[in-house]
Amino acid sequence: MSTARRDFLLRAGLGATALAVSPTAALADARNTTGPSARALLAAAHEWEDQQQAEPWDTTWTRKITGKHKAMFDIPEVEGGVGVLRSGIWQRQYADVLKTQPGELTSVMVIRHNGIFLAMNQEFWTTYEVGKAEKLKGDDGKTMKYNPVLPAPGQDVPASMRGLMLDKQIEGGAIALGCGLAYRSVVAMVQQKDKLEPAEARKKANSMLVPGVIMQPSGIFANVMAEEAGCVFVYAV
Amino acid sequence: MTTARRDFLKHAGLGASALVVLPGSALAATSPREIASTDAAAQRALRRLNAAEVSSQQAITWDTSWMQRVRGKHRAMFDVPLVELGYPILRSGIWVEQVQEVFKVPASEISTVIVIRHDAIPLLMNHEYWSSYNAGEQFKVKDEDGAPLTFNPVLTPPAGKQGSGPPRLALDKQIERGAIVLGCNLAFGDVIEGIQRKDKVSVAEARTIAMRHVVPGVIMQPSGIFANVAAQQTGCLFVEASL
Repeated sequence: MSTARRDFLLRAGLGATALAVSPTAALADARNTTGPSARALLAAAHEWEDQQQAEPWDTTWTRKITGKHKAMFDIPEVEGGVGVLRSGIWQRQYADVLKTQPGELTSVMVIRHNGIFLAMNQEFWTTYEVGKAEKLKGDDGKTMKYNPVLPAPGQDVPASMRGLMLDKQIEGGAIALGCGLAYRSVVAMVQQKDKLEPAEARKKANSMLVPGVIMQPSGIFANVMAEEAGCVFVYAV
Repeated sequence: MTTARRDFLKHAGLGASALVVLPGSALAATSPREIASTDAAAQRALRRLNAAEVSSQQAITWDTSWMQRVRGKHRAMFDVPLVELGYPILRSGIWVEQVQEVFKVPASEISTVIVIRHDAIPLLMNHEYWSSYNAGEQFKVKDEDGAPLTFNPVLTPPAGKQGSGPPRLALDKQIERGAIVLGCNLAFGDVIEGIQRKDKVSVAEARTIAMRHVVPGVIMQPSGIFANVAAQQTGCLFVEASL
């Protein structure tokens, strides 16, 4: 099984044993095995079940998709935050060129897959060294320290740029959705570093989510729902 | 800051802003403009330069009349963010042929919109540009032997050369048959910058030169994403043509 496939299945609560059957089956299987991979599997399966029981998914955002112009920006990679910025620039350009009025335009950003860390605040990025863990480097070859779509501590952001950042777009009415499957990597990072139980780790991770980001069962779930609500698809790379 | 982000911000008219936000990356930058950003005076020059770019962009009257040409039962928009030897362009032509063959529909029932953006931007430039400005080298487009390409692989090839696909699927031939081809003005900044560097001219002059080398019929749009959304709003289905 490829790493990508294994990681995906694990995040989907379908870890090892093929993840074959179901999380519950995986959980049962893990209980009968030992070793680090079995513990990880057990934790993943537990976390999956906890999440299913504890977290009602909020889909009310679909009712906020209004206006003549509706676009969903699919953001599967960090890529310096370009995907998020594209959403902001699209809004500006539609206003400039097509003279759209406020309320005539809706932007939905789906932050998923490797891009999930864009949904986390600067405290998360520095505490858990996201750049190092995800091997995100700048042109200078140095590891990225901060979330590129949020203001970094101690740095002024010019007005033209500020409006494109994730928090400002959310303030302006853009809808930002996170992938619940990819988010398991975020939770796992907290769990591993802080040696917490899965539920505690999730709670802590949630406290470091960018305010306004709405977690969804998966990025693909959000993709489809946004399109069903009338958004056109934008591959935001 | 990643190269993608730096290039993107620069061509969005936000180069200076980005450098202010992330000054470390400016020091490591390689283009003349960015090297110039290592001191305060250069920072000012950089801001002026970007302001000029923004102004020149704002002065453009964008042609969106192509939206009225999208018609017929079968409509698709081919998003082309990567060169990949031009294969994404061929996919548009192949799709049109297949729809005609399989569904037995006339060309008037089919609309194809090709959005050339991001790293694929040199595909909308003519052969003269590719040879004069070493586009193959700048954009790292190589032939099968690993040598930088000296002509645009998606156009009807120069005598003695082989294009990426059958001549009938060349970009110019598709435009002749009614395909709508849109270019991203943000990514076009890469082309302008290359010309500016080689010819040592102003941004505005470089832009004028660049426009002369755009394949006839290509319509520049504020951005590839703008074109993406607008095309889908006319009823086109999204096709990720680079994958």
